[in-house]
Amino acid sequence: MTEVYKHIHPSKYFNDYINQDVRPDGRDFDQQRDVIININGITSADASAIVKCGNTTVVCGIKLELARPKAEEPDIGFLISNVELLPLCSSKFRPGPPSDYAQVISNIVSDIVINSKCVDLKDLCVVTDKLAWVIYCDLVCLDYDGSIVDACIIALITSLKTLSLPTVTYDNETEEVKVDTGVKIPLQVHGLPVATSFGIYHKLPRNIILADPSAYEEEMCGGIGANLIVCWNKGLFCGIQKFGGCNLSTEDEKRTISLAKQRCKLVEQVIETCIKNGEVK
Amino acid sequence: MATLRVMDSFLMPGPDLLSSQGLRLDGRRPNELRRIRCKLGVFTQPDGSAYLEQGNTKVLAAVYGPHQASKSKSSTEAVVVNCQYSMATFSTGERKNRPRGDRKSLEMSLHLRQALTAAIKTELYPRSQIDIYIEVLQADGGAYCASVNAATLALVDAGVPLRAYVCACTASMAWHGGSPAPLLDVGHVEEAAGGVVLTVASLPSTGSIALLEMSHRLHSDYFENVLSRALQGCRDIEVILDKAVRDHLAEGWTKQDVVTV
Repeated sequence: MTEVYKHIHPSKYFNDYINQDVRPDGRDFDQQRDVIININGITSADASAIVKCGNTTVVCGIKLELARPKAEEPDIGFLISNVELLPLCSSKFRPGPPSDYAQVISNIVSDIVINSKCVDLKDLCVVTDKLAWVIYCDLVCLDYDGSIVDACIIALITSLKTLSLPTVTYDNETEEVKVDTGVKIPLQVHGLPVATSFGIYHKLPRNIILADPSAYEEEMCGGIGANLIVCWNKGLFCGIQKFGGCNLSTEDEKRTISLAKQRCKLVEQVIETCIKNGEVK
Repeated sequence: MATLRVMDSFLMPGPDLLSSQGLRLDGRRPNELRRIRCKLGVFTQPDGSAYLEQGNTKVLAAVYGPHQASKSKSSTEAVVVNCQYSMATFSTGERKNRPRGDRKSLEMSLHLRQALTAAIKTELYPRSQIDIYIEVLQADGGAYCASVNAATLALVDAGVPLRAYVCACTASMAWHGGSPAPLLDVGHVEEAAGGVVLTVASLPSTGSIALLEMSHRLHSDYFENVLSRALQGCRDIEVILDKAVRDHLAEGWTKQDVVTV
């Protein structure tokens, strides 16, 4: 019965919950979903992490390759990330080439990681102007239930933290490259960017901020892509993005920034615990 | 007898697939399946989903449907089954540049569709479409078989009526001290060693074969042996899948029911 009501009057269904100060899945407006992380699940990848934010599931797999650095930047390597939103994860995504939304999310994730300078690209250079590491980070979304950027960033940072680079010996005269996978050096990751998504629901007299929206709430708040994304990196505010959607008042903005800061601390703890437990094994 | 021995040495693959104690390269016996672990109802968005591990091969399957078919594809007599097979870029040893849309993936999608259409009761849903999406997270040989098995579980989870379980298994042939020994459930290393690989997708309860594919050469005298070994493997896999379905139903609900939005 509720399913039928939800389809016939989607706004009224949602309003009925919001007027009682609760969300359809029972959370408060500021309450965020639990984060579950699993590392080293995929042995064919050089590093991997599976993250669940509520029901949203993202797998990150990292593959390493060697390549020649660019001529204008001969001492830096490459960090290439890509987000795939498969038709498997939600009925909203159709099979075929990556949709606009997938490309936008790929860009957002890539920008956050590169601008946070969490990986010093100079560390990836083996021999200046001849050989450098290319880190391919492929994020595959398996179940889309909102807040995709949050889950992607957590998965990406966790796998980068567990990544180790094999030692490479390069002979200058013969141009021979020897990779020794037995001796591995862990990659230095500085900082830990964490993104938090918020949905803004249009309601008179004041718009309501919903932290960590699910897919249904995102639709109600203006569609996928209208989220507010706030980024913190270990106590430093490092980014805020909002494309379209409802207006945001200044007090709400301050509140979202402080909520994102608390979330950043929590996520850091989860990642550190997960990696420590992984090493103990 | 002499001519047969000459043929043996001509066809024998390179490195020995069976050691002197009769163990394979990964320590299994010739008619031992790899460990299968599976779970139904792992995701909330699709109508049916399943995760299956066969040794180190990890596969996810998601089913959407039956739902309205697009005008160009709809058929008035039966449901249209649409499969997409995709391998994650980090699933193989070397990074895979094109996860889907290349010839190998299209061929696998077609084979999957043929195997699964044989089991689905297609006449029950005319003018509708069932979408089956497979994602291979880690490939260690037998990715097609794991995909078929995972897709069967996902279809059961979605509530699509099936005539029988569809199970797929591979079999190969090795020589142990001069006598032939068929191998069950071929891994990646054994595939790469160059021996013959016979892939069978069958409906074990009815005893019929939905798909049969063989690579390389095999003498026709040994074919029956290898085929019956593969079919026996399919029957064993059906027992495992059936148990997983019953355990899942005994839990009382799927994850979809727990989330109430």
